[in-house]
Amino acid sequence: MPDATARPVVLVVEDDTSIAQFVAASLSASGLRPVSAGSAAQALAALDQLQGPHTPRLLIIDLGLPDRDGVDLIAALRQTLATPILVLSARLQEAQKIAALDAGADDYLTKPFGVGELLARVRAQLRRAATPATPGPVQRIGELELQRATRQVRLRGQPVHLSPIEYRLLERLARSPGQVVTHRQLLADVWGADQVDQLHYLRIYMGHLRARIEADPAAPRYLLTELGVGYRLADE
Amino acid sequence: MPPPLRHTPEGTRAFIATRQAALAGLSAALATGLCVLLDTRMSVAALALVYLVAVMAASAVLVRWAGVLTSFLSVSALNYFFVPPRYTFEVDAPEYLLTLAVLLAVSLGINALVASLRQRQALAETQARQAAQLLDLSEQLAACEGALATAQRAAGWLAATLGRPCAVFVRPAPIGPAAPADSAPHATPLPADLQCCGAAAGDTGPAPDFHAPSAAWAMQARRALGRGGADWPDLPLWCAPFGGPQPAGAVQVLLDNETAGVGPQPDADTLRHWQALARQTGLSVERERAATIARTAQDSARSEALRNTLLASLSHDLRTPLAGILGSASALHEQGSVMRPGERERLLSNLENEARDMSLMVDNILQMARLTPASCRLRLQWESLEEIVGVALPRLRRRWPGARLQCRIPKGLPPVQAEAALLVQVLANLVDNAARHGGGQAQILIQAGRARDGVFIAVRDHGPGLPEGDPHTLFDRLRQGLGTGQGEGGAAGLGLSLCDTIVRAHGGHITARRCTPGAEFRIELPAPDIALPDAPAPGEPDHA
Repeated sequence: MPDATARPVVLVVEDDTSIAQFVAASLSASGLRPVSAGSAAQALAALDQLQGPHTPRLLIIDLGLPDRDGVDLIAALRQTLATPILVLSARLQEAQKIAALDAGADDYLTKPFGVGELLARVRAQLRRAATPATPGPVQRIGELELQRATRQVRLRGQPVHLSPIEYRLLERLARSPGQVVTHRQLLADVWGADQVDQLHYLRIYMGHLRARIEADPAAPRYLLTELGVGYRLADE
Repeated sequence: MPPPLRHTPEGTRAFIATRQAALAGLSAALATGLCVLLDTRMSVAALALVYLVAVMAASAVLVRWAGVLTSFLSVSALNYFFVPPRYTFEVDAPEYLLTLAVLLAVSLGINALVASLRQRQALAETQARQAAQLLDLSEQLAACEGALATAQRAAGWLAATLGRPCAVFVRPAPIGPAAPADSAPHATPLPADLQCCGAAAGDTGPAPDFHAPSAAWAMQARRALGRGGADWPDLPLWCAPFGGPQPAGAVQVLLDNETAGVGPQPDADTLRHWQALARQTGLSVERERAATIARTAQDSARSEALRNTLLASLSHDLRTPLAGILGSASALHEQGSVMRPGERERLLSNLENEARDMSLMVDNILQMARLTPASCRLRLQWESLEEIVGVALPRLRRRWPGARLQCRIPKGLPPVQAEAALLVQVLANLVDNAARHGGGQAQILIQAGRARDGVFIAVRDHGPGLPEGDPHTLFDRLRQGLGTGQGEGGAAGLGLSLCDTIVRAHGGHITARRCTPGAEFRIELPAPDIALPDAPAPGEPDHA
């Protein structure tokens, strides 16, 4: 067990004590140092205090905070912080969850969630923060290979023919593998900012892309659906 | 009601009078001509009869004063031309005087009789028309549903029938005792919720401005006001409350308008009729209001019953996993340290599974609560069935590790307008249902494809099939209040009921049918045709 001060700090902003305790307990158990804050104000105070080696490596923010709208808080934090943000949302906060992702949150968990899901998301965010943000010229995910310079995609070594839109869709997701990209972000980046409401384009082209890449499109290995939110490309 | 008053120019009126007088003179002249022919052979008394015929004819055709004029002309002509001494107005024998007097009396009598007959006929016609209007109004209003719709229809009918802008003011709910009506209509406090349903006389023209304060005054004072009445006769309108001790509204007729200028003053008879129309409108509006209240009461009683059924079945279904959770948790808390690791492990996994079950059930309850009022709105988005099945499948495999879950989905299905989380829930409920009846080792096949008007998803199992009876009652079990029993009702009843509710809210339908072996639940959803941007964005080189 490493020294307590050397463990990566995770700031948990959650007002529900039992969830805060459960999250904190599982984070400590997996070698992290959780710092709890019960409100947005406490979170900002903690961020001021935690400096140098204690700077949080990840923020876990509940959307239903007592003193401030979670989306608002995330948008404000994103102006100065590049730290990954994981959002916790209740079942009926779909719209807020998407707004939080669009405001700069990196991932989300819907309550109720198990410790397995929590730790998987936390690890993925910490790993991503540790690796360089810009993907290399050749990107490999499982048996999928993306060559940016030549715009070539290979699956198990065989070239896959993609239409320009399909390629751009895949490339956009591959820019942040493992990370959820909202429908809005995808539509804006692939079709253009004026097409963000044309969700059916995305559904249909995602169907085409899956048909070319996935062995079983209904049980995708690479192109994962985040229901009602967006898509993510598997990162391993 | 008199015939509609027309604004007759003076010239026309003089012309009509002249013509009447001329006709009166003509009938007297004709009689005189006839008498000249008969003169040598007939007595004066007989000639008087000829004039009598002329008077009768004239009073039948002409207005009353022209008839009277004919009478006098006839008597004068008889006297002048035929009564000796001729060509004078003198009478030399009492016999002739009597003849002339009788002729005058009889012809004036005829005139009076005809006039009274006409008046009675006009009255009868007016009354018949008014009765027909009342009947028509009540028939028109009987077809309306809702107090406001009735008021609106009444206003339209009144405006069309009376030829004037009319409004029906309605107060949504009865209020307390009426305030003393001693203030002016302009100063009467307006009930905040007085609603005005107005209609213009014709199809054209801007909506006229109705006067709500006078309606409020009429409702408070419980009597009519406006021109032609005792109260506020200077107002250019007429306004009467509905009947009853606390009128719930009032009818207003605007007498002046911009196109016709100052309208004529309605007479007392017309106002009585309008009052009757106002009462009839009031009756219809009140009846609709009472019907609405009764309907609401019935609806709330029904939803109360549904809620009780739901609560009864839910409390049973929630208590079962809750008992397990509480038991396991307290056992682990108090005796965890002395338990064998395997035992502890089993309790912990029970805890997790029961909590997961409960979470699913709570989701169902929440969605049911959200979707049950007809006003609920879905957050529809374009969704792909492949993705929906793709999301549901791993969750269901985790939940039913013993079941064999397969799926068959063709490529290129069109997207549907749906709320994805709800469709995932439908699939989860159908698979749960199949797995529960298949005893955990179920073989379940999820299929999707194109249907006649869209797409379908079907969940087929090889379990014991459906219970006896009409398969569709499965979805209604909860709604009909049959879901209070053990097992079949409760969770499963709620689940299938929710499936039905969700699929209907999406404009689709769900059916169940027996298969050999097992059962199939099939959802059909509409899939509208959509246009796609098939051209790549400009400046995008195609790569091979």
